[in-house]
Amino acid sequence: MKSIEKNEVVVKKSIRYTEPVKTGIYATGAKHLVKITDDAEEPGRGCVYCGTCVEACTHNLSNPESKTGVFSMEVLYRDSEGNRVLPENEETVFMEKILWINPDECCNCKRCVKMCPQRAIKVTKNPDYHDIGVNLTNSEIINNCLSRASGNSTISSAHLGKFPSKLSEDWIIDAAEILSPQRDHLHEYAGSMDELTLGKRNAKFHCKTPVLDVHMSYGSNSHEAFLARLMACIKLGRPFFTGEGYIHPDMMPAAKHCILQFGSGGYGPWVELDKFAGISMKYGQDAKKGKGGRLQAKKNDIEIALLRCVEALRNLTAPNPQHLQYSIEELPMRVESLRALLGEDKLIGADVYGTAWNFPEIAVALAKAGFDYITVKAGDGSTGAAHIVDMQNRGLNVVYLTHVADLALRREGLREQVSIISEGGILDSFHAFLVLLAGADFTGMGMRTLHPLGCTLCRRCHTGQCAWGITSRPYGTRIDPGVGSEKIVKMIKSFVEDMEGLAAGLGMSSHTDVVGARRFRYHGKDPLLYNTFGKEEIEKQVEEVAVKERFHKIFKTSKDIRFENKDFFSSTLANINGDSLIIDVDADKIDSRSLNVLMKDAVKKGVKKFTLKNVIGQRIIGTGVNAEEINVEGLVGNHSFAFVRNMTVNVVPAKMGKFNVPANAQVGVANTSNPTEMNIAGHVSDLFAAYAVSGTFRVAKSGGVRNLLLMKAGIPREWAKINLEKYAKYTNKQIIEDLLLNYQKRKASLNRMGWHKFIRSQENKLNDRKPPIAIFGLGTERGMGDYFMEYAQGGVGIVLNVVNMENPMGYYICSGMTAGAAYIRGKVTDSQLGVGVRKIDYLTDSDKNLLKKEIDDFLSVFTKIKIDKQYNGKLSVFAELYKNDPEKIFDEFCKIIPVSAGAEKIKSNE
Amino acid sequence: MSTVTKYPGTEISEREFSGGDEGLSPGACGLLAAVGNFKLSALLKSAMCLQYRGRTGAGITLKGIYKDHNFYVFHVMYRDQYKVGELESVIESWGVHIVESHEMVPRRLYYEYDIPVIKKYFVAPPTIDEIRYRETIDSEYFYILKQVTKFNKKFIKDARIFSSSKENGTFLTAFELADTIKIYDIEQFENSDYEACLIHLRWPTSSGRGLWWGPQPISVGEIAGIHNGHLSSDKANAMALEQLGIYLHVGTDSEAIFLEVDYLLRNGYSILDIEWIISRKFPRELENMTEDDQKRFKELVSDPYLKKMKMSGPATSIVMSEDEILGFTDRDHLRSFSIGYNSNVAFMASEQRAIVSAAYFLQENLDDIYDPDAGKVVGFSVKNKKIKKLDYGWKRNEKY
Repeated sequence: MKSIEKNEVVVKKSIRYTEPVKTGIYATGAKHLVKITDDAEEPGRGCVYCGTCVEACTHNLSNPESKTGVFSMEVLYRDSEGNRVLPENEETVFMEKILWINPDECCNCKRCVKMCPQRAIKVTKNPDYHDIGVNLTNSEIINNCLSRASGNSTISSAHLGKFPSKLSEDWIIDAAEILSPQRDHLHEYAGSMDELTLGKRNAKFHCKTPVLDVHMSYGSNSHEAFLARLMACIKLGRPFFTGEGYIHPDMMPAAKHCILQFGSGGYGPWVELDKFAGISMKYGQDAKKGKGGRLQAKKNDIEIALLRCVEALRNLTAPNPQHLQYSIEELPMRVESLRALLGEDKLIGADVYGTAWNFPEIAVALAKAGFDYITVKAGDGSTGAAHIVDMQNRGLNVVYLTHVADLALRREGLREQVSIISEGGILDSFHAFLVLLAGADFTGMGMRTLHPLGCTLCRRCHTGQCAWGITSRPYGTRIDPGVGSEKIVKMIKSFVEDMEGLAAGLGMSSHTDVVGARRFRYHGKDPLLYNTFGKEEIEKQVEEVAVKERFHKIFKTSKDIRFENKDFFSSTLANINGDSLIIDVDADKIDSRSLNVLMKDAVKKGVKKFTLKNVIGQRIIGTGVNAEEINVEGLVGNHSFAFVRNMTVNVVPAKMGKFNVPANAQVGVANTSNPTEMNIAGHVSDLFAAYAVSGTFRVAKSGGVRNLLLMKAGIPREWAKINLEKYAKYTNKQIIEDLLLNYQKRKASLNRMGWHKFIRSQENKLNDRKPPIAIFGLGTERGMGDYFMEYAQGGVGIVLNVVNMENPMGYYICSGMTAGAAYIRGKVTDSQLGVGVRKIDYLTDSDKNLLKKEIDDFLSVFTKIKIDKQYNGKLSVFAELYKNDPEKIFDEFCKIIPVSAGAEKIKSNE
Repeated sequence: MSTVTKYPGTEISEREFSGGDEGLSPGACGLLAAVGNFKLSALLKSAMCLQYRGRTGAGITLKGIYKDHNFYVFHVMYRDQYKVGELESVIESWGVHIVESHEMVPRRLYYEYDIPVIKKYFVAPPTIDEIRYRETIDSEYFYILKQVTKFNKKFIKDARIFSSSKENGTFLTAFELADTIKIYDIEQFENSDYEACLIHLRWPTSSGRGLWWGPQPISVGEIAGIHNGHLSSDKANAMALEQLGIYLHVGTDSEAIFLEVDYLLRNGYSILDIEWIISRKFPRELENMTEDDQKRFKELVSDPYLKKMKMSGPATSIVMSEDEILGFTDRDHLRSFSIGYNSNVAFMASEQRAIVSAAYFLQENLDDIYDPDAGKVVGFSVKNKKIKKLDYGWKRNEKY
């Protein structure tokens, strides 16, 4: 190519607006005006057509696949006759550069404004969008109606900020003077807030700051934003809350700083859990009241799917409730299960939304259940995706809720057994300090943590188009995690310095003096706040504290348990035979927790194989027990075999004298598990193998309600190999170095391949997973319960129906399933099918191969076991039939799969 | 039990008695304590030099004056003479038996001072079986403690049981020390069998409870304490106690400190532990401690209850719990504190002046007079007028 002599070419430049696509009332119109000044208007600051803005803007809701957003640069080359030619054409004498602006796509994120080297871009509010309506029915209301009428999604994100913060006005903080002097906060003990512990019993996380980050998931945040926040937490000496998307393997060196969140979706491979700092149970969130987490399909890319153990590019909607905890008595059961899993020195927390009337009861229920901390999610909180109505509905004030929770816990004598974290709408150090004075041990700032990374609250988190790379994974490299983390650290330290100053001004020497001191008053117009904090000083001590509550057996440690059962423990452990141990539970000789502790003690002595005899409903069997095989004779209690990995479990009936104990399993058995195989020679109850990650589950008879709920798509092979032992002793510096090194490697491949190729390069890992398989034989007593395989994210469920029940299933089969398949033998009517699935009445060869293997294995396991006369009879008839004519059996199966595997297109939300 | 008798003078207003809703404005106080073998008259005389530090309340606790019998001795003040009967029946409703009661103040003084009705009761506690029947407590002492606390809280506007020990007597007025001595005829005890004495001269500081509630020593059961200062940690201290089921009956920051020290002694914490819990260490001091000490320190201060017992803000406190008397200042030494002792007697006071003059009046040669280091706990125990200086490792009993 011959080079073009520049002086020969006439260059014409212009800035032009694109033509609006639509006119009429449904034309969305530009919410913001985007203007670029030229040199004539602002000499020295005019546009130089460098194209930085084109690169900067990523927002394009009407055409998400487009490479450009608000700005695009068009360059035309013409010859002397005005004909268009190719750029390299030597005839070119005329070049026209057009910078197109499409203001309709602008969301006011200001990336272009801040990146423009000339400051030539001005983004302002468009009066034509905003100046409509009247005071009562303003532009927001009208545009909301129009958006709905256009069929747009009502999902939005971040903090809506419909009202100004109630925390910013009408509060006064006390000050000390003369009578009790202020502290000089240049010295050590003046409001110091650097020696704190999250958790007050055995499990404690030592924190160096009272301002914590909040749960934001990997997936909702880009890799870089997540990493920046994680590193900031390590540097600040505070735990990192992961959100419900687990953490990326590159970040595993920091496991001991991370508190994993278990959301209602239960996403994650759930490995190496004892290396983390703890688990937070997410029960609610202010920004999406009563709703589960959401991740739009677009953001659920291959890498995210691997982490969450789900199929890629499906909308991920976690169910609204935490299905394993519907009521108060299930909370202690859940804690018991998690405690068995994690041990006593790991934190177990609960994230709850501040309810209108019964919040004291909720706080007390959580404390009595044994949680180590409660996170109060109050009004004005933010989120990465929620319906606009949920965000607009302002929750209760964070100071008020903190006060309510603190008082309730104090009355129960449990305040010093549980920490309170309060968050939601904390905008600055003053708010944070108010919350501590109201009784919180810690406060959370989530949204604030994102500002140093670039967040200007354009509220497009859910679209995956964040131009700053905070909530958009492909643009994540716009954030330098190292620099980003430093900025967060600076900001938080500055906030905490303020708080220390405020405490010093109150004459307080440390954080302890601040918590619950309530040295403030409210004198504004909010009646609830005024009545609580404006009228009179709050009593120093609450009356009639239930001081004995803290000695409840729920708070017993394993040391106490060993002491109480020392005879049973020593006589049982004396019976270890090589790597095997038989424990005779003898109905009630040992309770659930003690049995769990005993089995762990036995593992320490080298036991790998357990046989538990005469079990009657003991809970949490096997959870946290690192054994290869557990055989149970009798009835398995609630939450047994939860979280077990690579373990073989067999449950068979017991004969206790003349009594037969059926080999049934109660509620929540095998939840979140990944066993080698699990064979239960009886019925299982509700939520069997819910959140199962991988492994094979065989149930001789039927299952209860919501069996295989949220079954996953299997565990990536790399997770099975992961070992975090070496990181346990890493210093913070070593961890940061490792994190940065891992990131450099990632960035190098990203730069080499580009985002899409980089993501696609992990596709083989998706297919390398072994999804869980569950097969139910069915008993004569009952069929399968409702909601079979609800919300399944992969995996296979088979109902073999060996007893030939005519209509073996309940209602809402596979409702909300996003991947995987159910094979059901027997009649399934359309009205029984759940939402978003369809039934196929024939099987392919691969279906049959899969079924053949599973049926063979099923028969070989259960035909050998004496379950009961009737069942064994039916089973042998079935086996005979299958042996003689397998095709006939296959023909009686139907298959249920999700209808829509893809994502719905995201339309503008406004 | 009681007959309504007419006292001269008008009844004291609720506001004056209880401080009303807002309480009295929160200052300075004078403290003097003596332990061992001493003469009360000489001590009282020396305390006069501290009068300038506080003139709206003076109180005295004398340890040992009621030792010769096994009854609890209540000193009770009533704001309204017509409520005496009603409130006495409240006390009797606890199942106690009032063996004897009499007025503590001569009638003629009612013409001179605005004073409430002040009576003394000799109280026999219920049997242990009866206590178990009424409450989930199986100790006579804690039963009485609980009832007194409840009574004082509930009737805060009308009455206060300001002394409820089997051994000690506490005497409070809202006037100067000389008035207190006169009103209660303290000189009558000159030849009694006392072995310790706390004297407090008050300038009200705490947002506590009025003229008649404010004076110290604050005493409940075998605990009595005097405090000079105002704690910024008062809410944290109160919450720690609340969560342990220990309630304030006066509600001041001072009381919380006294109850904390008593709790710690009862639960087998050593003097050193108590010092660490209440005063803490500067972070730089911590760095210079041995590894074992650091470990123990961390263990103590990371306990959520003990953590909240730290004393922040200006304070000099002298606390008597059973046979032990502990004195200390805050770690920053925002209030003065001196001690002086020999084998016979020990003094603790706000100022050396008071100690030296007490020694002079008593003609005692003290071995040592000095201001203890900031935040150091100094303790003495006394038994039959014999004193022992408590070393750092001393603890009352093994922790249970």
